[in-house]
Amino acid sequence: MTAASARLLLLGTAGAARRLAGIVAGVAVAVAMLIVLLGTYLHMPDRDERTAWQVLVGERLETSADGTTTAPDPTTDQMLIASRQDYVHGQLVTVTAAAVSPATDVAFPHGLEPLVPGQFYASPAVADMIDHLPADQFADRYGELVGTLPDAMLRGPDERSVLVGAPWETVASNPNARVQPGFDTVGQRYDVTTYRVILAIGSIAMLVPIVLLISIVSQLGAAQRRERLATVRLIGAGRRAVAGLSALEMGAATAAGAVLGVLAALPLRAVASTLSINGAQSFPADLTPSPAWVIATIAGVTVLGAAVAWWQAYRDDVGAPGASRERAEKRVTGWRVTTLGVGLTLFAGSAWVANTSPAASAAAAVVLIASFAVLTFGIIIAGPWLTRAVSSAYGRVAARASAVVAAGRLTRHPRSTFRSVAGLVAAVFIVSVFAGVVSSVRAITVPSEEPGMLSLDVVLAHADAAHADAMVAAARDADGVERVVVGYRPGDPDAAGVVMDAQDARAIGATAVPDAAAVMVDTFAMLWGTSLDVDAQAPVPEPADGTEGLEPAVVMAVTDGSPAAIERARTALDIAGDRSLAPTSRTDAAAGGAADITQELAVLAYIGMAIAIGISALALAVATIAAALERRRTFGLLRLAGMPVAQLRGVVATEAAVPLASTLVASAGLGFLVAWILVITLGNGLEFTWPDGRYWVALVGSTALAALAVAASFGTVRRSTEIDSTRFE
Amino acid sequence: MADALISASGLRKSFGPTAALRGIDLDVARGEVLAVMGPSGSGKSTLIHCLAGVLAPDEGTVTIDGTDLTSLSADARARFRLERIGFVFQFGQLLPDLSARDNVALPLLMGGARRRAAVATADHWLGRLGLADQAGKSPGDMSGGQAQRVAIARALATEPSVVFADEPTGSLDSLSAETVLEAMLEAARESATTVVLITHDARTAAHADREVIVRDGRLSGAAAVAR
Amino acid sequence: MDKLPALLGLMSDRPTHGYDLKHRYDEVFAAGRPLAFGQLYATIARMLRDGLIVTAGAEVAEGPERKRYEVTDRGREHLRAWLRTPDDPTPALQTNLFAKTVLALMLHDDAEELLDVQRASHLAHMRALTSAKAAAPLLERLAIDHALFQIEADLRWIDLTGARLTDIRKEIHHG
Ligand SMILES: Nc1ncnc2c1ncn2[C@@H]1O[C@H](COP(=O)(O)OP(=O)(O)OP(=O)(O)O)[C@@H](O)[C@H]1O
Ligand SMILES: [Mg+2]
Repeated sequence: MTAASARLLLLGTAGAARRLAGIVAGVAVAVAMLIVLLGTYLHMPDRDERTAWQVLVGERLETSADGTTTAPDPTTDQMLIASRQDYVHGQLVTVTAAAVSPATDVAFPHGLEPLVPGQFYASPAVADMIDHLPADQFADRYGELVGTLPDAMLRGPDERSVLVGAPWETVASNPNARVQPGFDTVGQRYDVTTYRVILAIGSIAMLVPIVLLISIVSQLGAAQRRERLATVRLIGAGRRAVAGLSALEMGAATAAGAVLGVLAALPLRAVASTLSINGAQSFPADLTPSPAWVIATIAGVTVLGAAVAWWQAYRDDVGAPGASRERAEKRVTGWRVTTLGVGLTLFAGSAWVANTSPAASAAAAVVLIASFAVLTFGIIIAGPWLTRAVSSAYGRVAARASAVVAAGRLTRHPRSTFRSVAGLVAAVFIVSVFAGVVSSVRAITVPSEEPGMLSLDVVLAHADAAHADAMVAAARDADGVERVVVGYRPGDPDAAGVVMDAQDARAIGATAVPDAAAVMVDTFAMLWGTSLDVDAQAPVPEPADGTEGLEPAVVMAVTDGSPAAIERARTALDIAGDRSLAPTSRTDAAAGGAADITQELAVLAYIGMAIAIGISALALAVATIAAALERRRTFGLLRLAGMPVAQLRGVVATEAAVPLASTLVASAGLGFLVAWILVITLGNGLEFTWPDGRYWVALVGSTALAALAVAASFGTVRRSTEIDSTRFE
Repeated sequence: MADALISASGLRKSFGPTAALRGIDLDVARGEVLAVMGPSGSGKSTLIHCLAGVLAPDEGTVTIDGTDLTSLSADARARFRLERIGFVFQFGQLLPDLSARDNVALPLLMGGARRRAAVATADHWLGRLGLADQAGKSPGDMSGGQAQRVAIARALATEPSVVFADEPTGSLDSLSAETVLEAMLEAARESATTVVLITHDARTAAHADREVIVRDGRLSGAAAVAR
Repeated sequence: MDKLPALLGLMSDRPTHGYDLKHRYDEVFAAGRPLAFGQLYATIARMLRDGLIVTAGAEVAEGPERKRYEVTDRGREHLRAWLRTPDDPTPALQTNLFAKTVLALMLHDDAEELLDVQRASHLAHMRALTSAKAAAPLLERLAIDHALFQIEADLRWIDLTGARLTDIRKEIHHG
């Protein structure tokens, strides 16, 4: 076929420009997203490589039976390093303490000057906090700020990290400290695999709506060109030539869309870099794949677009005119539900295995992710069957003419009608799973005063005999501290808890305190209880002999509850203490838990799904227009016979609404079922609760977009059935 | 004409530069079967579209049973067509996704009939056209002649005042054409429905009470008309 | 074919000699079967007798029978009535209708109208046959069908002729 005839067939078509614009826009949005996901995926290891200096890789210090450590003497070729998590106003700060000899040969990363005790480097985010907070709430903990950590040492711009110079003896007394010849440069990649898998699934989830969109748009192209192509076929063009034409057109459009998408990725990157991934936002460079990858993406998407269009055109070849009597689709059967059943069985099975035998959990996790994909796929396979089942039932009871017409179409073309809404349905499934899982975690993320638990006003610090008095004194001096409580290590080393004054025990929040002068209170359980186990009971204090002769184990400052007072108490306790662990409140205990990461994933999931829903809505709009054009003669006849346009619109709307309604409810239900399975098998007694507002926003949003998409076709429905534009013989 | 159901005068209609109708006066009596003949492109289809209120003529008036169609809005004409007019075309007028029964019931439903009543009426008309055993079939599984009879059942099921048929048997062989036509006219005559029938075929026209010939957008054979 | 009106038609645009008349007749209508002189003069005699033509005086020049004939008003009337009378569907129809059409075109008469008249007449026949057929037993229906197809063939020919009138007119006036 010559270029001239190809141009005639492709571009001469009415509406071709609009159709191609649709595909260009859809592909551009999806490719922009894809590029950012790909960049994130590729640079995920870099992020951790940059923070390798925080990782402790050296020899542990020798620890004797009674818990005291022996450190080597300072030398110029070694350093001591320890790290801990600090809290300030509900934020986590990673503190790395390094101790070097005065004339050390140990190189600090990226040319930083070696630190002397009392100096520290802070990441820009921490430096910013220091600027905004009084020193006695935060900066005093570390000493003198002598510089900022360069980007090359940070995961992302919002990373809160400090590198503190500490005296050799201080670090040497920390049981977690290591002896290293220098800072690590390789890093460890614990969580990266999970994140990369999630990003990979995200990219695939992004490809699904693209493929649907391309397939639907080429169907529209076929509908618009049907007569023309039929003539070309009659003249003798082969089926392959016609499919080739379609592939050519769609390849060009997807290529244009992909290039636009790469451009759109630039501003998108700025937005995406503000999202928190694995605990930190990203530098734009972390979201930018290399030029080779960008070119590969453009080429891949273009080939995908052309291939989908080719297959679409090849499969529902128009044939020569006259030969094309509209065929009903091959009947869909209940067998289509089997994929879904297999997916669900695999999913529940692997979740159970992961829960019951920790040894097999790594393999089970892979199966879990795979079965999740099978489930998503199963929904798309089962959709037409459900559509047919619901619409044939609907057809029997339908009373309005528009409903009868729509039900007839749905019953005979469940595949193509469902395909228009498949993207939305799959997106809603994934959103439902995430929402279900996240909701259960959310249940423990906001701590509240609970009877028997550590009062939220209390800051708890570990202490030993050497530091306790100074700590008590420092805490007393801090503004807003109302009482300072000391807990003593009991004589019986197996006993859980610390001994303290009964009045003190009440002051820190203990309930059911027995009538004794001294009581034993499990402060560990009071602090961590519900953040580790929702079913945890408040510990019950027991009578004790008294605090005489016991060594102090914890010092607790009861504050007036204001954030400033809490931070002041924390800073005071920290400076006076042995610096190995940060003073903690119950609010911090909750903030540092699994909730953060799950919430982070939920944000990513919602954003990804918002885009998937957007593209799917575009696909629905295109599919609805295609269906209207394909049936312009039928619709025109109905109008001729006196059907008002409003009823025709009713037909089009019903044809989208029925598959959407029947499968959307089912897929949301299935999503919650999957979330429930996850929560009860993996969640260590988490409770499954109703999802939060974002979920309902996503649901209402997709319904509204679907309605908008259908409404967008109304103009075409009216115009294409205008009696002047349709001739009846 | 004393008892004219359809009365058109001075009809003119152009499509851009093409003048499809150039002044047509025509009366059709109640219950009459009128054949409209004429060469291809002479304006026959345009004429019946104007008579049926599908197209609005540029000039002239069309009155059906006292209602001046040319003074009605497009929506009102659609309503009028739904209630008072039936159409039969050469082919491809059935909804491929609906059974024969639902196809026939459709205009009744559009008119607000209840589903059960509409289906009963549809079955009655399918029976009258000899299709009682085909009611559940879809049009794709029917022969051309059967499909045409379904279309006729659909046109007649609303008991319209007039049925416009554009080459209703144009794509059928002689015998099917004759059976289909006879079935249609018999049903129409029984219910005193007026039929305006476009045909190229003299044997089809011979079933009519009268014929008019359209040539270049005008009626010719005035002698025949006056007779 | 009815030769009398055909000859009458050929004479009616201007006075003609017998020889000339035969010549023109053979050219237009004879199609390989020339008109015998005997038949020509017999017909002329009949027309003279019925007052459809009169002698317009002889040209004295060469040859014996160089009489010129001229069509009378009565003759014209006869011709017009013939043109306007539809023929019954018989095998002779084609030749008659052909003659009528050609003559109408020659005389600048409305050929379309005469075709319409013929069409209407045929359709009336068909209509009668069709309604007879409705009540007839099957075997008789077959016979009626045959008749209907015969008439239909005529009608198709009429339609085709009608569609070609412009071309035929050109050929007659310039050919
Ligand atoms: N929608 C339209 N747009 C432009 N021209 C039109 C339209 N409908 C009809 N015409 C023109 O008007 C003229 C009459 O068309 P019409 O369809 O009425 O003819 P017809 O007698 O029905 O012909 P046929 O026997 O082939 O069906 C033709 O020249 C046709 O091209
Ligand atoms: Mg037509």
